Amino acid sequence: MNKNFVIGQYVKGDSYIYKIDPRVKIISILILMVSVFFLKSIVAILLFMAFVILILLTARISVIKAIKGIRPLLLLMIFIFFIQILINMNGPIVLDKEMTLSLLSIGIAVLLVLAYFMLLRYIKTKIILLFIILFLIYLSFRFVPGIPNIIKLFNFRVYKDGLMTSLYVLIRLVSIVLLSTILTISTTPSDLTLAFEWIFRPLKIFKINSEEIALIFTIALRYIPTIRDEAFKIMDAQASRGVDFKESIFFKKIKQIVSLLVPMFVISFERSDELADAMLSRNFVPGRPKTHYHQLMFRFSDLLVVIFSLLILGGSICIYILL
Amino acid sequence: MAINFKDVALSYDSKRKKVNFALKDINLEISQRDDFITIVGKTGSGKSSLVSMFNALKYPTSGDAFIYGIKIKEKHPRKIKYNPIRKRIGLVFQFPDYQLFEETVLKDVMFGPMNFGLKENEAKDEALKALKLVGLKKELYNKSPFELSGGEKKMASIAGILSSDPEIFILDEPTAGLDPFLRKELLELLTKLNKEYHKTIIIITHDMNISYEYSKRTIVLKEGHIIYDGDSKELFTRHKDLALSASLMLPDVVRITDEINARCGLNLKYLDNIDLIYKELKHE
Repeated sequence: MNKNFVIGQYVKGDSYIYKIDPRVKIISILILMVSVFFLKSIVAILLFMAFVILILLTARISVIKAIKGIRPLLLLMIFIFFIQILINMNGPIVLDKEMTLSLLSIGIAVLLVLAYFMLLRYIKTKIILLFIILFLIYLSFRFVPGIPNIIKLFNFRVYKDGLMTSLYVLIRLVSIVLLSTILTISTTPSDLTLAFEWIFRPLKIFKINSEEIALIFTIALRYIPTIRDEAFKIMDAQASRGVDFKESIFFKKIKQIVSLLVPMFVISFERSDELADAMLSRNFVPGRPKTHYHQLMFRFSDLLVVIFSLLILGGSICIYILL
Repeated sequence: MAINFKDVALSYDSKRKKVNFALKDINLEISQRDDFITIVGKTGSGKSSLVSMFNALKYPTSGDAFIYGIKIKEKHPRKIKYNPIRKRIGLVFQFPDYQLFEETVLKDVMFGPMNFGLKENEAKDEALKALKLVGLKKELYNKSPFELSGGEKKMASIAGILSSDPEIFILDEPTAGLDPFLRKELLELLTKLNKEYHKTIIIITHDMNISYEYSKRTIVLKEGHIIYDGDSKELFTRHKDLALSASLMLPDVVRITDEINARCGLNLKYLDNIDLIYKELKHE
């Protein structure tokens, strides 16, 4: 098994962004995210995006990693983009095309759908493939001259406002996701939990002990690789009894997942009991104030970071009010 | 030929160029029907990895590994199902907790054969046979496997593999965590399976006494290489240096006989097991 398995997206590095106090990092990135929502014009949002990319480049964070952070949201983004284009009908028309349906284009569309399912096995980036195929289907409806031209479907129109709003929403989403990826790439999970513990300390007024919650998170994070290894072992043990986890019928699949989950839960519960006993035997008292091996240090440069992000927030609010 | 490995190597991170091999230059043949093999070596010498390759759970990074004529590879041009291999080669893992999951012991033992395509009543027959063979009490058949004691769990997990009637029966450290009586019972069961049912038994163990007293053939692994593959008794009597170099402890029989020979200036033969030595001592 992969021994250097890391939880989260953290990548080792050594640039200024790694040296900022994690508490400051979280707070200033939250401030920056809020300020995105005050930017109404597309120019301002493009400038903001440029700023985020500037951080990305100067912090020597691998761009590929950051782009990978966007990937889970890709489908949502494309969906929002097209919905915006289709629904928003204000402003001048940019594109006006007549869609026709004919036997030939239907045939081509069916063939393309078949090709999509054939190619699925060999190509990993399914979403991109899906959209290429959908685009080709669109082209087939648009340009293939119907030999018998059966039906005129509708006029495919794109309006200027729709296009602009969808671009605007897209860029805003991308810059927010990029910001959060910068945070998770440059901060270790344990630093993050420590920082959140500090940030949520005021919750003591409501009798919520942030230290305990942070401890729960730390333990959970520590056990992810262990449980992952265990899951692999259980899968091996069940595979040698004839379970095929990769491909089978739906009803069999349920049984197979049960055969993985039950041992995993049993082992995890046993382990948590043992861990609790081991902690108690080393005189752990829940709720008692603890010291930390890693101390978070607040430095002058951190103050500058907060001031800078507050300035950006102020600037964007000014733009919002003035325009 | 059941298992035939040629220059097999296995590494866990194959993407990098500098690779740490878990196993290297493995040349191995296991063909005889009623063989009794032990695989020994220090922890981390690759024993478990080797055995998981026997069951097509791991695939060689390079080299050819044939199991019952099927070449095991991660990516086959045509998808080959490894279930036939897994039916003929049963693998019992060290911790029974990794496989027990059903509501009752009987159902859990039936799980294997049903996966390999037996009908419910056939699977039940096989399961009952296996449970009887391992000597679990009848009251336990309808209990939840999680209520059993450690030793009973172990036996239930062994029955879970035996029920699919494998030709080769592999056990990963079967005696770990068992009391001496259960250990003896288990080893007698394995001998019985070997002699009466003509199954090939392969055991991974740290207990050299098992290797010396029960097995015919021993495979010694050291840092991913096979350094000895041959008769068990010869390994511990003639090639002691080799055994010691792989950080193996000599079996009790050998150590006691050596000690007696050294102290009394005798030249006694190595007996088959410790009980025989005890009897001889009582005699004189």
